[in-house]
Amino acid sequence: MADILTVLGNVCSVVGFLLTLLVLLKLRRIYRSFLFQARLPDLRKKIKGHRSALARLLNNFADAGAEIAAEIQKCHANLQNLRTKLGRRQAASVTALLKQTADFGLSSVAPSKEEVRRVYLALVLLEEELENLSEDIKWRPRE
Amino acid sequence: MKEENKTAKAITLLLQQTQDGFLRWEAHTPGEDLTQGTARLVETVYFAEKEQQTLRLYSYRDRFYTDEEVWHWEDGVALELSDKKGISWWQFPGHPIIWDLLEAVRFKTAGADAFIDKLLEEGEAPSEPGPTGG
Repeated sequence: MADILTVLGNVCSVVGFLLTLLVLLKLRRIYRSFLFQARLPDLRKKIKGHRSALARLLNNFADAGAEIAAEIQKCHANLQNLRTKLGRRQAASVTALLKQTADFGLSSVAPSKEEVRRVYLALVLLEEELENLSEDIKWRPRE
Repeated sequence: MKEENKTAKAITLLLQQTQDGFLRWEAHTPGEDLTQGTARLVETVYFAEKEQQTLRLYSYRDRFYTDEEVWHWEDGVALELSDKKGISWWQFPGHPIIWDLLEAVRFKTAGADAFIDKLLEEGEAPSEPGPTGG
């Protein structure tokens, strides 16, 4: 009888441990989801600001090299922040954009107009993805 | 390609051609279709010719009523295919980058580029000595 109780106790401990892990995972997901929903509007606004600033600077590209590099570096920092809040699948385009913007302003060679335009277009498309994502969130079942 | 991406890429192309000076815009006062029988405010309308089509671009302010006598202004921007008289045939789907296009068009049509260059040239040129008194 004592043996059975010991085994039962052990099984319950393992089940309890697994349940604790499950609750921890669930809590982490709720936290990330909450953080994402709270921060998404602000991050979207920042991406929009970077996109708009780049368009304005491209109007006078010849004289705006340093400003463009600074703007893209700021954008890079915000993209890094955004990536940590996205799921793996949604983060793909942010990761691609991060690679694109990683070396801006660090190399001695000034970025070409075409490179800056590629970043601009990628930001335009990312903005659309984020807009769709924020619409999707409204219809997601609550955790 | 998704329809929204297609629109975004098309407008981006117009933006690039405007910035590079390949697409030239002219500023005009708004036509009757934009000013009569509407509460919409339009200041300047820009026209450009592209692929045998006329593009019309303008920003506007609409009165947005939240109650019978309570309203506020809402800003918007429109990019359309129109005829030479300015009658709209089709409007591009609303997209925030049309604001970027408008900004570029204003920059070009106002001659801001040339103005800044001239100003900088003046700043770099050695200043002439003023008339000496005495």
